Amino acid sequence: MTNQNEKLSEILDDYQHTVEDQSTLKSLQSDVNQQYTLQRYQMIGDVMRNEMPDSIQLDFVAGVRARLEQEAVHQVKIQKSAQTDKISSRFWNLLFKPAAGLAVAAAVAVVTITTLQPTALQPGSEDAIASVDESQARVEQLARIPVVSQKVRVSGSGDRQNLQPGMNWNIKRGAPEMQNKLNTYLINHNEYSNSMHGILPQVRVVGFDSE
Amino acid sequence: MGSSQLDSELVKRVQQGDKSAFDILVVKYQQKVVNLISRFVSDQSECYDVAQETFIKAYKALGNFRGDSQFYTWLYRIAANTAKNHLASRSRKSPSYAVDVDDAEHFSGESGLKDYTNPENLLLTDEIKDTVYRAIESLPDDLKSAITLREIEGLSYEEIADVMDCPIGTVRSRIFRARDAIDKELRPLLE
Repeated sequence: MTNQNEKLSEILDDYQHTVEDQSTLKSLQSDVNQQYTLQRYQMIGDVMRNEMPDSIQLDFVAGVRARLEQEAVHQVKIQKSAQTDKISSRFWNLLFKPAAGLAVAAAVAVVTITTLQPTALQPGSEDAIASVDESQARVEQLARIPVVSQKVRVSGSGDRQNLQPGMNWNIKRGAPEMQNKLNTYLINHNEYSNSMHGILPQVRVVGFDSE
Repeated sequence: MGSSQLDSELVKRVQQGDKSAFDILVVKYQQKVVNLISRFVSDQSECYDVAQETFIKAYKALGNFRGDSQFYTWLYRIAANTAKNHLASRSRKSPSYAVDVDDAEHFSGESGLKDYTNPENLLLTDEIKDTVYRAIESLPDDLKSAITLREIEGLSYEEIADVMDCPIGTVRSRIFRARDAIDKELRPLLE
């Protein structure tokens, strides 16, 4: 014991020494009595240097140790609750998110159906459907008629009324530029109507003359 | 292994997860830290609470301690900052001890505030001081000189050997014998 205490005295004094210090340190950490001895040696120096507080707390080390253990338990609790949150959020991601997505999609589908149906089945819509069928039949009929080349000026309502089935839509004035312009417009419209739903595939030219 | 080397070794061990190594650091520096804090905080019982807070903070921050400065200067800096923060928060808080609602579950009054300035503690501290002084007075001159040069003047073993004109081994032995003699008087008080 005296030998051990001598070693303690040395390591306390900034004394450069041997490999034995490692074993001294090890036994100091595991032996409470040696820790008390070190504390008393330290205390002697503190009293001599007049660094001793007016009132000492002998169980200070135990208090610090208890606080650290308490905080470690608290930390573990926090980590556990964080882990639980993580698991529940993973569960949410796996199960509830797709379900919520499906629910939203279903709701959108229902809204679409309920809002579109009234416009399709408004009073007189049966007539509209019938007229569509009629025009479909007429298109088929026109397809069988041979095409006759005839120039028509598309500039007024009267001209439009004179249009006959199977007539070719040729532009009378400013022909090359207008033709190009109309073709470009028709191509663009065709491409756009293919990529977008809800746009009529046919074009209706209301007025084209630049008067 | 010197004191700073001892600190470095202990710090390394704490960083590797050895909690008991931190106990040794607390044993070594508790009175110095309390002494430093008492320059900021006049109430002795509060000093110990601030000192405890200092060591808790130091333990938590020890993972980031790279050893660019000495451990004790780093620890003293934490102590000074904790004391200043304590004074600032005390001026904001009501005089009663407040426990946060979230912390209430984990709060234990036992490790919280205690009145360390009770008459028994004050008396014990006075007795310790008297005992040490008396024990030093009763030491043989060579032991008394050796321990005084070491503890009060802060000389190294080599310097003491020069002053006392004796081998280092003799210095080492004299300092230990002086401590051991004082400790024999002190131990019964603390057991």
